[in-house]
Amino acid sequence: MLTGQGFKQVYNLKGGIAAWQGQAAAGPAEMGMMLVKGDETPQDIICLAYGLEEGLRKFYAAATQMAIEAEVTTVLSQLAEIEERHKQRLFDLYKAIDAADTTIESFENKVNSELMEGGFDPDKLLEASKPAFKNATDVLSFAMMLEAQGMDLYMRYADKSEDAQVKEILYKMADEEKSHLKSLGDLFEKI
Amino acid sequence: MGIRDIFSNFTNMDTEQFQSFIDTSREGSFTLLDVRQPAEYEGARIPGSQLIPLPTLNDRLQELDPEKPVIAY
Repeated sequence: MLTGQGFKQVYNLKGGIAAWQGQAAAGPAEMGMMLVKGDETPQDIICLAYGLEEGLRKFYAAATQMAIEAEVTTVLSQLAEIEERHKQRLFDLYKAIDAADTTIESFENKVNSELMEGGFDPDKLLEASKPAFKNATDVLSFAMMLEAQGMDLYMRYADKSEDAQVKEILYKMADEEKSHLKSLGDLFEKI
Repeated sequence: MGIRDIFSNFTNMDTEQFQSFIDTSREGSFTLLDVRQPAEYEGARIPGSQLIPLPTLNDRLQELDPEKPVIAY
């Protein structure tokens, strides 16, 4: 049917979801979508993404405080640093689009960091995840789940957004989450 | 009507090919299409999938970009 409708390349994933070995995302399609109306400017969407990344960084940093094993603490600190770098890239992008002389203070004033990447509340999530944090493997699995949710959310935002530049920014964010997932997967193999 | 009827002339992609495809393709350059039911999508999906349940696909084809490769499951 798709090929008959002008679709040029159509593939069927053999084995479907059951054959997929990577991290899955879950939850309703509307989850976290209250943050986006579809008519946001590129600046709006960068601020939103920055807030989400900051939420995730906070989560990793706070989780570091309660981790017992040194190995787990190291992994969590690394994850927090990754999010910090992600935030820096978003700020650079904002300056490139808006005004090069924007200060980090004025930028952060615009950012709402209450909801974290994936549309979760960081404090609630931290509380709920405590029992799962027994070793570095648990933490990494959890981080991979978060990054998969974040990637999925950025793609849903992209789907909803009407502005081509906003879509591009969101695709880039999703690409970065995909790359985080891969890094986490590699780290997971090492420990 | 089953998935084979919907995706007539489709090409199968195994998980190894799929992993390699998504590792080397930019997000936004392809469509990952979940044609299962909403409850299945909500339970577990490949991150970044777009949900269009099979029974509604015919009426919602305009939501997809025919220029982009579509990988369906």
